Amino acid sequence: MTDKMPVNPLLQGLASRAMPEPCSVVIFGATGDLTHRKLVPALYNLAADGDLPAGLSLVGFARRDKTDEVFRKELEEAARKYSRQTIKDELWKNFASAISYHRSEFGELEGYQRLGVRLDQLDKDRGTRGNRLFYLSAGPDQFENILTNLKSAGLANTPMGGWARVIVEKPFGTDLTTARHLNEVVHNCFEEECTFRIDHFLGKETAQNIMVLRFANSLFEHLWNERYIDHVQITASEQLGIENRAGYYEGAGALRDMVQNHLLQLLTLIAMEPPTDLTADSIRDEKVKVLRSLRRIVGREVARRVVRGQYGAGSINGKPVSGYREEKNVQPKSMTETYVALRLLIDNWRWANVPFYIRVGKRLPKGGTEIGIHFKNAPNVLFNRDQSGVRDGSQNVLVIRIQPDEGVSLRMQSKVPGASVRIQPVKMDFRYGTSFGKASPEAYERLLLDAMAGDATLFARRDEVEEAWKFIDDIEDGWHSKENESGLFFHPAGSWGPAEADQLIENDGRAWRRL
Amino acid sequence: MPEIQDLVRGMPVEVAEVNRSLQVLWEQEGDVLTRASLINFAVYSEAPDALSANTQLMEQVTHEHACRVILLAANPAASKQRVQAWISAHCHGTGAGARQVCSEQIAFLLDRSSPDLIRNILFSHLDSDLPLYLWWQGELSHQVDQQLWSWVDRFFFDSHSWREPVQQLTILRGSVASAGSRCVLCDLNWRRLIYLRLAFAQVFDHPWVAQQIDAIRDLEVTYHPEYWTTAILFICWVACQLGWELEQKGDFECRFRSDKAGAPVFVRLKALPGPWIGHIKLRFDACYLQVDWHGDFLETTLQGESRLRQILPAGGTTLAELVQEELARGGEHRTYLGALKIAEELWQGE
Repeated sequence: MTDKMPVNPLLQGLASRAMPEPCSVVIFGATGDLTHRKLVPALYNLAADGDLPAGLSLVGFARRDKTDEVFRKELEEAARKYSRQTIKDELWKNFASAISYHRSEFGELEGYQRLGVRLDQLDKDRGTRGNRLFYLSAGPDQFENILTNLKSAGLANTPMGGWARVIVEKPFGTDLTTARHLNEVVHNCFEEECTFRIDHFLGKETAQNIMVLRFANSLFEHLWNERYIDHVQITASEQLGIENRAGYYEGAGALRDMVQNHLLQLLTLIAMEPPTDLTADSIRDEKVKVLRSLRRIVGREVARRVVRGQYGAGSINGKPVSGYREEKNVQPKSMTETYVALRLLIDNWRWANVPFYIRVGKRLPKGGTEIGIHFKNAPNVLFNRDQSGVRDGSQNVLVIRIQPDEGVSLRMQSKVPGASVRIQPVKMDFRYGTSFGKASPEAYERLLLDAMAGDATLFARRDEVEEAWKFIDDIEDGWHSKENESGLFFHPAGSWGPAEADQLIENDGRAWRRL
Repeated sequence: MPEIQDLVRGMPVEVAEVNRSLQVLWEQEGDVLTRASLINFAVYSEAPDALSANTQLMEQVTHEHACRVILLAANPAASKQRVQAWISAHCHGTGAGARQVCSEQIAFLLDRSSPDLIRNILFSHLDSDLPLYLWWQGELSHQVDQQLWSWVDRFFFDSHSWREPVQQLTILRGSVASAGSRCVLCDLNWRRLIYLRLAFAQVFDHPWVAQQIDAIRDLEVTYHPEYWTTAILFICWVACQLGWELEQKGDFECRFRSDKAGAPVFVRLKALPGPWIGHIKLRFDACYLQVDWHGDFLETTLQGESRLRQILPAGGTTLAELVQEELARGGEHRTYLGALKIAEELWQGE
């Protein structure tokens, strides 16, 4: 290992964030959907905005036979279709000149050795300084193969004082055991600080805004605890079914697919204590503490605190849609859940006895992801005296919309104009789209740039992933234990889930938010 | 029949009725239009056609940055004091549905304006609690009073448009200092250089070029004849970032000393019609680097032991695009202040 490259003095102060060093990005599974729909459009957009290092090179690694030219052509078509910016021919030409295709089997060491030679040459030609970013966009069954071969070929360490980092796409295992194994495999090849477990939810503007909202506004933090907050609801609903993902989804289900990663990540951002600083580890330390404080749901508790459902035939947007069991490649008697509702508790000082309700499902009436912070009612002394029953309408609710229509709204009580004192809830609304006219960058743009710059703040750390799996595994065990088998409840597509999910929250005298 | 100028400026209103008239406007249009505002953006100009020109310009700026636009067109030489006002809105589709997002605009024509009048008009029409950005077009005079300075969060100007840049900077610094203002100076002339600086700087990411940084022998900048101050700012940025010290100055040739290199660096400027800065050539001991501006793109070429060619975005070139960029990316501009120290010496001339 030689000395680190000196800092480029001309780049100092040029942009509001540090420009990443030039590097080679190697995408494993480069012919797949993610590369075409997200990764290449994201990289092009970064280049068009002048945010990418000019020396960046992109190598697609996959099994199919393909020339550089054909690969570039395919990526160009994808970029034209999926990029948020119009493709400018000259810029694309320059961007494409940095793209090459590397054909190899994932399990063939010699292919990685050839890759090493290619990357060394790129270092010389394009000045990428031995910096490599490996993106595992292949199927999870190939991760181990790829990682061990990267190590065997000497690519997990780089010459010239550069760096080698790896981005791992979800799923990070299918349970605690497999996650630990995968983490071990990754750890054998790359240091934790060079490992970036990507969860694109964390790259969304509103997810990033949660910390700003909480810790840059003195208004909220004093109220952010069990004294003032009645409960929290996190909802992720989709109109879509499973599309072509039956193979994966049948083995995963909504709990593993969405709750273990995206929704628990959002929960940690809402519930965490202020970090000591904004470094990646300080933030992730606080997130892990939340996961460790989650009250485990075990044994008989699973049936009481978790509802799992599956959509049957119904209609979406006025069109009939088939039920989950009738979807292509799904078992006719599948017991996989497409809907989950949970009641969680966090056993720490701040959140004692504040329930966090989470619901996630496919084929629901409306698509959207949001977090609702429901504040406790004002004392029933003056204006609230006559109200009774489920009093959802009278609470102050702070809603953080993650997608679509990213923004924040606050519901509060207001007097209706007139001679009598009539009170009605009104909504203060902040929308990213209208307040900041410029379109937000795609989550993958931000995350790719962060990984190139070595900033792991928006990526999951090993212990975060494992703690989340511990929590999820208990529920899965509860579902699948014979003595204590929990039911699967059906609901028609286009409805808001099974009645049992409504009951889950109504038992506490509360109701799901109407999205 | 409304006068033609009203069609551009908006609906004429009494000065005392501006805020109420805006309320009425939004109440009438509330179902299809959403008012949005993140900043008060005031634009001051003494040019005769300022209101029309700036209305069109802010139409573009508000496309990406929702704000309350306050246009101040001043005529200090008028014989009688008189203020006229117009209100209007810049509306843009949001892409989803028919709803439009609008930035409101208040335009004032100020005859026989004075610092008192400007301050009063501006203060009484700010959207409360939002930052105030003031864009002063043209030469600075003493038309901005101290209290107003202390309210300004970002001060926009274009040093390219100044006839006497050094004198103007003296006024600017004096005003900011006397008001104890902490406003950020946003020179659009500096913003002109952002993509050029990015393209130029990124070549030095290459390890081989990075090693040559102390072997720079001369720098040649070809600029549009009207953009000498822009070219000087560029040179001063390079000098400041690389730690060069000015040894000998001239309008078209100067010499810097680089302690690390132990040899002088010669700088030459050439005026030629074309882009603001059409061509940059940097000669090292063993190679040279060129940056050429071609329409929407910048081409960087390195000739030497290593050969590199890159095409990078050149960014927008209209005033509206520069303002949009500044609003989107503008930071504290500490690098600018460093470059400015050297630029002042060069702008001053021999």
